[in-house]
Amino acid sequence: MIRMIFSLLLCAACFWAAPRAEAKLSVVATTPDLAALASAVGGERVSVKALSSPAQDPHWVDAKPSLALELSHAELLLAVGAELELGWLPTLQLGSRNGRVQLGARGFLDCSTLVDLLERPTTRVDRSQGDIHPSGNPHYLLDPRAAERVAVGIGKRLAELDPEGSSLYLERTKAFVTSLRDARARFQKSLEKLKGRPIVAYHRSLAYLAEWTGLVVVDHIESKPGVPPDPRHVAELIALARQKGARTVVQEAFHPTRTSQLVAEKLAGKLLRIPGATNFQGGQSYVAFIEQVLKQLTEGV
Amino acid sequence: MTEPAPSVRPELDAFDQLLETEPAETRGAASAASAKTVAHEAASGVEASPSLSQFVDGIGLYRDPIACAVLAGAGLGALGVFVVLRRAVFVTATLSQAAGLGVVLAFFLEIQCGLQLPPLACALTTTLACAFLLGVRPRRLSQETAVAFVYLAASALVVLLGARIAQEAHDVAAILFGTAVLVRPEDVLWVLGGTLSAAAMLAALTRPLLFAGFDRDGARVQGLPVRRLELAFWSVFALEVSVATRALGALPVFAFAVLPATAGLLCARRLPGVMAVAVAAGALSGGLGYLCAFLLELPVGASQAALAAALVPLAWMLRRARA
Amino acid sequence: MSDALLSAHALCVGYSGRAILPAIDVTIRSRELWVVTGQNGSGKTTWIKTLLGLLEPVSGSVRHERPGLGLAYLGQRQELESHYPVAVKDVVAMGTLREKGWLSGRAQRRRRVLRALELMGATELAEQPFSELSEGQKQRVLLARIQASDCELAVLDEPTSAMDAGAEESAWQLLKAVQRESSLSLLVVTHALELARKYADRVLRFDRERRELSAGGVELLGEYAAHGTRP
Repeated sequence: MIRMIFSLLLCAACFWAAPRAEAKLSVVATTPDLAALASAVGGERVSVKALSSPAQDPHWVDAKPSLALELSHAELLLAVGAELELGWLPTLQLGSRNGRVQLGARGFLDCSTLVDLLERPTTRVDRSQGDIHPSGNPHYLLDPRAAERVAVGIGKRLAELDPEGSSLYLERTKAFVTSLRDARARFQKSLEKLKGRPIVAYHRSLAYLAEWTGLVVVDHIESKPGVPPDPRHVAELIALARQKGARTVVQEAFHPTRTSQLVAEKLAGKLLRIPGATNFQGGQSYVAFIEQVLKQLTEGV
Repeated sequence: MTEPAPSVRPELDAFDQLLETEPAETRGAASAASAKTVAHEAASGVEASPSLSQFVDGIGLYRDPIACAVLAGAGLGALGVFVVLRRAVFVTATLSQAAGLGVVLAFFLEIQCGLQLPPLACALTTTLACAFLLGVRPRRLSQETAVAFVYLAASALVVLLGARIAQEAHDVAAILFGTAVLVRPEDVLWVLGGTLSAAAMLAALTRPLLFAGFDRDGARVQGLPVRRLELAFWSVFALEVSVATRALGALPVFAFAVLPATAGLLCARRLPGVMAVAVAAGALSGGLGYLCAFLLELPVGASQAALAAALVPLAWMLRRARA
Repeated sequence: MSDALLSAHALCVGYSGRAILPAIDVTIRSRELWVVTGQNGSGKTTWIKTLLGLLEPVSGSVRHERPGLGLAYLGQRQELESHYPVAVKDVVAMGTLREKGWLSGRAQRRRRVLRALELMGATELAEQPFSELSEGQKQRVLLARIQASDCELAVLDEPTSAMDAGAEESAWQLLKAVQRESSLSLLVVTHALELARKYADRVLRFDRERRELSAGGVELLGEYAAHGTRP
């Protein structure tokens, strides 16, 4: 009886199956930022999915079964790389049983290879130093200059995988690069305002943002990357921040706020929570995201 | 697709040339094309919710995690009957914590002493050691106090040792709390092993275990090896908890060990009925929970736990309806 | 003597190595009905648990006079986990479980269960959940468990404590019937002195105030009453 019901359900499911979308190149990105870039340069020829949302810390993602299905059909997997997704992507990648997106295949693009990474350890990384990424800091997408290189790399890889669309990809990449450079020109005034301003950050995720905007990160709330703050560190941090004149704590929305709030209060300043990534599912573009972050910084710092 | 087709090579070079142009040249020249791009950028980002047919399409992909959840649900459901009857539900949480301690310990030993031990083996060892500790606790210590002691000691050690190995935090989490979305084939085998051990143990020991729980002193006087029986039970339970936690995560495992058994105890009056309901409810919440997570795009472990929880009031209503 | 089952030699009971009662020699023989009596808190339960090997003695020893001596024990009601999802016949079947051989002899075990239920007049209760029985019914079922265990010595700690006078009398009659049917020895802790006097062969008397422990015939019960420590 149960077997019969199950077979009926299966048949029904097959009949209801929606016709598969017209043959677009299927791209899966680990973060919404990468998804937004891929969508910008791929346009109508690609369908793009993001494995995480801006509300999620990309170090820790609870992937959904539907995403595994997407990954099993994917023709291109975009990863931030530099060990950012080490905790969850490999299982998903292997489990998807899709040879095209495995490590080393043309369908897997580690975008960290497209940019010059900051904070690349020069000595042997010791575990006592916290959650150091041996390949360098992976939070480069908060710098539009790095994003430009990534977008170009993605466009190039799309053209490789889908030669028929290569001219379209080139056109769109050109257009995206232009729009990004235009935006950067518009941002110039804001950047001048931010240059040299001291801030306290939560995690080492603002290194590229600071490098681009000229903000000076005095210290981090975390005593070591990935290690929750301890009382001694917080006391030292507050003293240092006062000495350097930093009053604002800046962090991505997904980081915990308890200690940050306390530190901001002690500094008689405020806690500024910037979005964790582009709101790709809500239709936001990467340029709009960077603009939003910069607006928040100029108003808040 | 290791090499691009020759015809597109000039195009590919054109991409590289994009980066060589000076940003200053384009400054302030906002073109119509770029505005259009920005507007269109995320158009394909809107997602339709997954359908049953997509699930059927991907069944090969989901076979392993569903098998894992069904097996763990059934095994823990059956073992859970005795756990709930012994008023020891928080033993599950304690054993999960002990497994965590094992994993952290494995990394710690590697860092501090250069000793390379498989984390899963360490997890299994600490879990079994804790189960043993709970089994041989001094009689003057109540079971809940012993459980709290082991839980607190393990939690504190996990945090203390964990602070020294932040770099492996991802690995610890991955090894300890599998994502439940996809599992590795060896996880299925481990869980299958755990569930088969549970089935074999219960087939041989259900009646003496029942007697030892119902009237401990009566069973001891009649010559039943009550301590060894309890040790056997908790060892198999510890094995099942550690392999299932590794594959599926702590939340669904805790839920499978408590809620299906509760449903069984609510709606059946004799042990065989209770066991049957608990096994079915555990397997159902594992399998159907996964399907719900797929269709509604929810986290897997929480969906399975929520479904198991929903079966409890259902069982209660069933009993009321029958009465 | 050859009909001795269990003997305590200078057995001294207590907690953490501290004696709570003086040492005593007791020998329990085949087909005897012992009554253990004394005030609450006089150490009766500690003494019988030590005799059965559930607690360590402070000094002295307990010897099984027959190899493989079959023992059964029915503790006080609160020691039972009555919420277990077991039917009456499951409870009676627990009596048939011994250290070895619980995997075999299903048919024989079932016969013993049915026979014990029949003897206790509880056949119609067989399928009922144990937790839903009245106190008197539960007691009959637990006695059936003793009956099914085929033991040689059964120790019962206040088996009639939750019963009214009428039920208590019939419970003692049942006990006597079980003893006769299975030719077993019984050691029963009780406060019901009148009934004890009627049914007991031997008496073990505990006195909390004097920290005394004495074993003897039924006359001990009369002496005990004369002290005026019990109404």
